[in-house]
Amino acid sequence: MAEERRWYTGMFSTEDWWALWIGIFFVFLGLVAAATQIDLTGWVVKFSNWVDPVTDKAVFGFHAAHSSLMGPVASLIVSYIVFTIVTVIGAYAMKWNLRDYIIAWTIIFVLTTIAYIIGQYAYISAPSTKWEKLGIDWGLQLGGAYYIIALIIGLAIANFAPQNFKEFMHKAARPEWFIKIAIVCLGAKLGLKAIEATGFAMHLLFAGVCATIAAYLLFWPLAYTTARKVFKLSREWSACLASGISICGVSAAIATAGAIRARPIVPVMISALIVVFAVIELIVLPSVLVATPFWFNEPIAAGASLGLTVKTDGADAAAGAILDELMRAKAATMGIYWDEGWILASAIMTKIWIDMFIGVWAFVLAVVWVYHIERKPGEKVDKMEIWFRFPKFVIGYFIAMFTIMGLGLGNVISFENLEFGLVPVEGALRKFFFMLTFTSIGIVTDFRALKQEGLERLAVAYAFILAVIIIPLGWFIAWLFHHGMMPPTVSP
Amino acid sequence: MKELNFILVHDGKEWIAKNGEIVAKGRTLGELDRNIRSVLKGKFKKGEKIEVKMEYDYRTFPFWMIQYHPYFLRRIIYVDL
Repeated sequence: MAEERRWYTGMFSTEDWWALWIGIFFVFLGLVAAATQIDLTGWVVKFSNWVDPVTDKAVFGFHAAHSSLMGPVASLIVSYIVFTIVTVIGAYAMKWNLRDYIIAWTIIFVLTTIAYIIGQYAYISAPSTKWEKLGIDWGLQLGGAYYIIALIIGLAIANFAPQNFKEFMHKAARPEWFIKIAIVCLGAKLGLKAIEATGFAMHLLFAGVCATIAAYLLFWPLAYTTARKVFKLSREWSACLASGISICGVSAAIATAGAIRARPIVPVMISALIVVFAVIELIVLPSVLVATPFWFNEPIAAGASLGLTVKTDGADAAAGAILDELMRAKAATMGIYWDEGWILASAIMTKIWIDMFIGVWAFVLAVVWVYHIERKPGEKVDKMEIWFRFPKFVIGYFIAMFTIMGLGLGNVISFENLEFGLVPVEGALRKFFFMLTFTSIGIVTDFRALKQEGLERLAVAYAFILAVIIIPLGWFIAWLFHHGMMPPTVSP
Repeated sequence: MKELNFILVHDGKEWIAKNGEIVAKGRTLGELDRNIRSVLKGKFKKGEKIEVKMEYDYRTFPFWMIQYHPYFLRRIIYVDL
């Protein structure tokens, strides 16, 4: 017997809600640590540049976030155990196969750790400002190299591993889940930063809303019209393609297909394309932006442009993280030291606003389709659709951000104490979940989808609309609402 | 008003609505709705108004996709017998 959907449906059975619970759990742990000064979060494993395999406090560059709490290996083991327990609780509630999940998760955890260690090798990624301290006199300075290594490992599995193994790995390769947990923790980071730069954080928040509204009003109609007129796609394919490419990727394609009552094959095929193009964008766009003098002088706008152009939360956050590293590394060579995380925050802020409006957009489309285009007698479009499709992890992001801001600005907990409890969560823990996202994005991205029968015309349409409409317009809108905004500077 | 909840699926050719007792099919949603009306006519009294809620069985989507969005399609139709 089918069960009726209620406002709380999915609270303990969807990844979106579980991202909120897990993210908030870690932030809460950090807040308790901040309030009591009991070190509840110092165990989180933190990776940093290394040259010698073993130093006093680190092994291959990893150590506990509070290194006085425990040794490096113990920190890695405790992190594995805690992350496994919390995600397994979620997996259990979502009725996944726990045995398969734990094995696949463990493989992903190990591969991610290896990628992190390799990428942190000083000669690969240490910025020149750290060379003297590390005792080296040259380096490639590839900021964020560990992200790319994790992605390459994942892509190798998706595209070259035996089919059975690849499908098995899908049991725990959940990039959207991992990135949503990380984004809730990023809310804690923005909350901490906003204590010292409240005006800038609010400006970023407001600029993100404006850019998102402008993008919604322009992207979708242009993408839909191009799909219909230039590529002669049907209404159902055009609408789903337009949403996927111009709003929030796979989520938008599914929501739109549901709203316009499209057959399920439509979002399934379009989604296969979206994840492939999102990975291409996350590899190409950060390098293009950092190499372009115009964008290098507009780092926050460059970050926002990723939020508007790179579809799927995972790929956008991943691209934002790479851009943040590359931009700061390049600025450092010129003696400018931008505070870490603001460019990434800009990329995520615009994306979060886009995500939040998907419910409203799907509702509008459903009303237009059901009442005006298909004119289905007796069918009703329920306003609750807006809530059902609302991304719940966003609630966690804002709860984390505003709670920490309030506690800090109100001097309820001192800034130093907040940093003590929360920096391991918004720093090391969040970054590890970013890394898990990179490995997982790779695992779910099969480039052979482009060769799939029937997808060629869609792939051409997608590439054309992305290159001719979404990216140029996204860049312009990002610049329009964010130009002149610069990340706060810090001492080297 | 009576309320019925159905699970909705698509087998590649037809939409299928079912709830354990009733099964209705249609190549389009319009045809499905008409067939639901005819099935209900045989089961309920004339003059009754029935609210039919259908939610697509999201488990039929590829597992890698369901992390992106909480559900696919939910419909409500009103049937006057």
